[in-house]
Amino acid sequence: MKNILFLLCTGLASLTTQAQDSTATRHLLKTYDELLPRFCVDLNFKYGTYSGSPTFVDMNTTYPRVITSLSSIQPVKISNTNTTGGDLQLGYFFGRKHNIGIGAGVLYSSTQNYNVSMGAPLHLEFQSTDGLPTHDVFRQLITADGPITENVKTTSLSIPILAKFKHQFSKEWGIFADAGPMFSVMSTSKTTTNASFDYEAIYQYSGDGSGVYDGNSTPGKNDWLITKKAFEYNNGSTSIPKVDSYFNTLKSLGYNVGLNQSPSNKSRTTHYDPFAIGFLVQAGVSYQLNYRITANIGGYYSYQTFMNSKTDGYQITNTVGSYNSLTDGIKQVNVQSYGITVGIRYFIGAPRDIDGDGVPDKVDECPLVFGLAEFNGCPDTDGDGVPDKEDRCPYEKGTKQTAGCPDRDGDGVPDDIDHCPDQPGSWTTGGCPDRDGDGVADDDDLCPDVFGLKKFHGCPTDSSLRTSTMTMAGGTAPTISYQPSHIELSKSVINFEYKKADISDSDYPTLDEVADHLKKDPSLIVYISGHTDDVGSYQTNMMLSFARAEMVQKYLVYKGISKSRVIISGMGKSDPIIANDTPENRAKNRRIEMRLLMPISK
Amino acid sequence: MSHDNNISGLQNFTSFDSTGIITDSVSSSQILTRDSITYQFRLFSRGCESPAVNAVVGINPRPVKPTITVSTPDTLCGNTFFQNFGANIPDQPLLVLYEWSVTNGNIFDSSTTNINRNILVNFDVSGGTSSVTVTAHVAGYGCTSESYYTVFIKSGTADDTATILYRNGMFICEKNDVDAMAYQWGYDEAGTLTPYPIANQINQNYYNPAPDTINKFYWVTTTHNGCSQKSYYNNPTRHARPSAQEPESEFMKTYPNPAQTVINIELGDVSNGDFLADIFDLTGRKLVTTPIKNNITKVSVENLTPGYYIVECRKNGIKVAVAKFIKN
Repeated sequence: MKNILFLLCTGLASLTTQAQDSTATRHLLKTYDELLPRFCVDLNFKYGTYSGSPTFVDMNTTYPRVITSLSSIQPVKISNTNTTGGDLQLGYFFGRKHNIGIGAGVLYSSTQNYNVSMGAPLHLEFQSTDGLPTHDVFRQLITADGPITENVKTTSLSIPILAKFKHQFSKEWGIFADAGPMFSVMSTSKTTTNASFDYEAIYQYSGDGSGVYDGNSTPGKNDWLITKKAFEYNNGSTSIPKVDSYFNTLKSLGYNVGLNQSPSNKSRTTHYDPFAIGFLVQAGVSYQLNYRITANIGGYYSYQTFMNSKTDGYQITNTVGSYNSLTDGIKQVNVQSYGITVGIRYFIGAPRDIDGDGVPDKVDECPLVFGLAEFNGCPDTDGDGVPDKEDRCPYEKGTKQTAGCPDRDGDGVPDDIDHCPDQPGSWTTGGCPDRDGDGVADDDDLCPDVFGLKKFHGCPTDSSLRTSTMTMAGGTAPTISYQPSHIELSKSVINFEYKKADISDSDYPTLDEVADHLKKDPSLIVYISGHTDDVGSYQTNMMLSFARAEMVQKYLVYKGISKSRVIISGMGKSDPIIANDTPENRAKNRRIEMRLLMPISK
Repeated sequence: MSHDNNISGLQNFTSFDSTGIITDSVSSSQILTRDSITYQFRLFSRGCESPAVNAVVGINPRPVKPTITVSTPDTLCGNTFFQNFGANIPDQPLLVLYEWSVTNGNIFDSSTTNINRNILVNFDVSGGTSSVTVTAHVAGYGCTSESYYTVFIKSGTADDTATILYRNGMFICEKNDVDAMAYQWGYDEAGTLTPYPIANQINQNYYNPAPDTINKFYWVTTTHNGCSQKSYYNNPTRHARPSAQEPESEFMKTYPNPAQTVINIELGDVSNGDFLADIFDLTGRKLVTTPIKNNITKVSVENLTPGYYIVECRKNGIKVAVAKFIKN
């Protein structure tokens, strides 16, 4: 009983120490953001919608002397599509709580296979000069053969400058948000067109035979009409080969005419101006993987304006085979995108480490005390491998078995509670030798070499006491040894609740059964070993396991069984029947085991 | 009397009078290949034959009726110019001359070879008929044969002739208010004025990078409102020789006359349009061509040698007036 009290005291002391440490830690971790370094690198991947609204150049002004009453120009449209991309930023969080910061980096986006198109009809009539030796001025007619569609691939690079916000709700979970302007560095569109055009001409000649252009919508009756319509009128035929042949002949002579003429180069590249302004907003939740890396997921919205200052004089085509992409004629395009963003945040620089032990506070179980990495930042002052918070004797070298206290005789019972500190013993005998292992120290055992009962002072029976006495006198000690009986208990294990030694009501019948067996056969004894799960310190569990066995013993004594026939031991957490990996399994390990023993007959 | 020619229709005659008149006729449809027939007189007196005498009788040949080859379209209206007419007598070994006359129209030009076998006719009256007559005779003989062709001129007036521009190897007809399928390009052979339409050249333009403007007169026919018109690029009259005998026109005046350094060419009350004035010497050599704007023009004559000069005024290639002046 004295031993048990010792254990209890030391256990409680240990619990108190732990509790103090936890309180300090919790206080420190109240603002998790503070624990993280100030600098971070963010890498976010983005996938979202893409919708562009273009402002197209007015071709009525870029072509010379357009006859607007005859011209027809349709608006340019951009099809909606999806865009992929990502941003890479360097961020810095300031302030005491590290909640607010600023970041800058690059935002890349790639938008594939969308369409920029101009509907039909596109028709232009304007003044031009032919490439013939006489350089005659004439009226050029250009008609698109149906709608013009360009397949476009755009890649853009911008520099976002963002205000950043983060807040950790718990050690793992938090939220983040970025918002700020973007400045485009480059945006390039590669286009492939399906366009084809009819080039027709109307020549008017002055008195000296040179070409003139009067800009009248109705051609003069003396004008030379090189038009498909005129050909068909004059030939009475819509035969395509004939009209093509007519136009091809004129084209080969240097006239800028031709039907169904595709651009000689269908692919173009447009570069938009740098430094256009937009903005980016993104926010979401974060999960801290460790004190350096956070995983983020959330949504984003971006709005970016791209400008093209090179649209002055834009003409979609002027000579046969020439072509300027529709994107070359877009003065400005406002692009909106929203979607999901997934990324990681990598913190760089030293995380906060108040005690300076090299273990960041984030993972330091003893953040205020200089400790060792192997003990998660907690100290081990005496260097015995048992951290102070688990070390009952933090200033004296000990062993794990002895909760860090010295144990000169190495019997597992620390010196300070070892009644025989220089002689190996056992817990049940307060650390004193017990040769026959009956739980009665040799010094107190009347039969030190015979397994006996405490009631009989370590002898099997009173007689044995006598015998022992006699033996002591006679010098010969009779021995009784026990072996497992053949009696099968209907239940040999009783389980306990966490940190409790109380027998539940349902287990009393089992104990009654044991008592009945013991009553029936007085030669039997019962051996009860107490066990715990792995929660808590060594000595706490030692004490608890012993307490559970003792509770059973008390009940059996209450039922009339001699205490000496109920041998108890506490095994602590040393002998689990199953790994302590789940709450269920830990419950199974919180138990006592009972075994009925019978004497080995001579 | 007998003759030595194998010419059908000739007979042998016998006379018993002291004087005799023999009438013979050549009934051959063939044009004679010779211009005389030799008759032999043999005189018999009581069975005695006097020495024979040959008498050569010249023939006045008369050609068969010429065939008129016509290239006048059905869509003929008033104010239609330059219609080709031609006459032909097949297998003609002798030189036949053709003379043409036209009612309700006038002859614009005639061929310089084959002696006016082909002509160009302008029809300026709308509605009615016009008769184009050709008279043929063998050169040197007065016997003629005649054919005629009646042209029906629709009511309505053809547009003026179009300007034909040649630029960058391309003939361009400066006229687009035409009926469907209305263009036809062609040329007249310069010497004969025989027309040759060019196949498939039925657009407003005709590409010919190397036109032969010496030997060919290029033209295009157009139709508008059902009236056809013919317009030349190089007009045949450029080669027509002016005649000093031609009477002067009323409405063109030249002054001063005689001229020293400058001659004024002034038109009277005429309709607007592009007029050209050409100045020829008496050999028919064209020395100056100048447009007449606003009915008057001044032409320097300093470089002209003193002498007699003829001024022709043309509109659409058609001679509309003639005047004469003297350079001192």
